[in-house]
Amino acid sequence: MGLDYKWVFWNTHKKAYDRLIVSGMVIYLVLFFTISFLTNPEIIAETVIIRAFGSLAIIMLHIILAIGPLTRLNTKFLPVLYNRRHLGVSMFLAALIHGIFAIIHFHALGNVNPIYSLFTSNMDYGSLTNFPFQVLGFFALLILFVMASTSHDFFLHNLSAKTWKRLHMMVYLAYALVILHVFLGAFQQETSVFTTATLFLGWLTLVSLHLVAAFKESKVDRFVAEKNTEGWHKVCPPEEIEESRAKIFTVKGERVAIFKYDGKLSAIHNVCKHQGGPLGEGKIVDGCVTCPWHGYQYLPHNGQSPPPFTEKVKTYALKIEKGMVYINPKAFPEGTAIPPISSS
Amino acid sequence: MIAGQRKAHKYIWIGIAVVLPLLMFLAIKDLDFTSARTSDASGELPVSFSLSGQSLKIQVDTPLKSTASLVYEMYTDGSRGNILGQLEGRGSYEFLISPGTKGIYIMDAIKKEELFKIEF
Ligand code: HEM
Ligand code: FES
Repeated sequence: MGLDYKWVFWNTHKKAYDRLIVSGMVIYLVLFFTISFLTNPEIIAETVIIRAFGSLAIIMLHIILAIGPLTRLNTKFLPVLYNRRHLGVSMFLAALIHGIFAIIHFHALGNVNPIYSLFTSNMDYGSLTNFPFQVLGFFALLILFVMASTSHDFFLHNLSAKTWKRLHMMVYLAYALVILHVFLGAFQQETSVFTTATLFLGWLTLVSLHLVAAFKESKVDRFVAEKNTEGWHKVCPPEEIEESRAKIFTVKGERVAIFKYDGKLSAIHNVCKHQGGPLGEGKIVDGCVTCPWHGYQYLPHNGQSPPPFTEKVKTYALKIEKGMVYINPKAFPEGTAIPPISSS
Repeated sequence: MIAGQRKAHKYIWIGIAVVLPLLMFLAIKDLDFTSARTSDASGELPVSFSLSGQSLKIQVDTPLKSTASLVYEMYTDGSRGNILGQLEGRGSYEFLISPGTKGIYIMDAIKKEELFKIEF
């Protein structure tokens, strides 16, 4: 990881997107309040707060879930990925306000503990359309809380990238819970073709994006290269790789990034140690492979982050035979130095 | 992402693609999208209700005068219990009441007055 890169690129982006997130949220809320009170002057503030923040949270959740596949389908969306976590934390805050107001409004006026009341005021757990939908919202909020509070890199390092990723895949469960929360809750009380159709279209969009991206990726994963007599895989002619950029190549279902820089070629594992970003979609900045997601850096010849950082990725041996680049499919342990080969 | 994670993501989304629309459909299949909140029958009482098991249906026929009307359960001793929800205008509402509830109160939330007291 490089301090300079982080400071220059990543911080300016970060601030600009943060401003965009906050102003987007404020504009939405102001519009929601204005329209609600204009169209229904009798409506009470609490109801509008519950609805404004609930709908804001679900819209943000859709945006967050669309970012991943969009970046895999088109790298133009990469800058948005920098701030997905901030978007996630802001979405959690909106959902929290919605949940707190709903609990106060619907449960705090009785004579039992509001959380207890949330679980017991409707006990029709066996029914579908009468299901206690607020419980679904509660569990979704709980998941979002765990994700928001572990979103900092501190937890990423302490939980290991794998556990963290697994934890954050719970967002899909939260999404399903929220959809059911709305279908079994708000839609039962106030039937509207418009909102039902909107959420259905949201589902359709997310599912299409994710499945198109997933099938595109699994095609790449299944790629089987031609091999030479020693079992090395044939990649491409060296001219095909752009200077300071990489070609991403699949060996045995894993992806490798083959970088060209200063007349040399080096190959490292394609997966960033930070959050699994695709290193081969980044470029060489100041002699280091720079992850396109958040700017972690690695030296191309040994896969190590320049000191004081300690991240390491696997490296691979390359050679040129009859004008073709070949790669040894057997990876070297993380951080093993491999002399770069000449690209000509 | 490593190949295993990509696979996990793929299967999760196939799951969401198959299961969620099924649940969405089941949730809305019995809803009436045409006549929601359009009932114009103006009875004498502003609200009428029907009770089946633990499910209480309240029909608001003429708009209520209070801006915020809250529905409460009535305990067997006649005291006000859990809040069930809110009536916002004409339309039909459905609430789930706790077993042993004797009736309901409809309260004006702002003036804090009792509007109706209905015993089952
Ligand atoms: C403790 C957690 C939660 C509680 C108690 C809760 C409660 C409620 C209630 C009572 C309603 C119906 C409001 C009405 O009809 O006016 C509602 C609707 C809704 N909720 Fe939640 N909710 C919770 C969590 C969430 C979360 C985590 C999300 C999304 C991220 C969410 C999104 C929505 C949406 C979109 C609606 C429908 C639109 C609306 O009326 O606001 N809720 N929720
Ligand atoms: S820097 Fe975050 S994934 Fe690479």
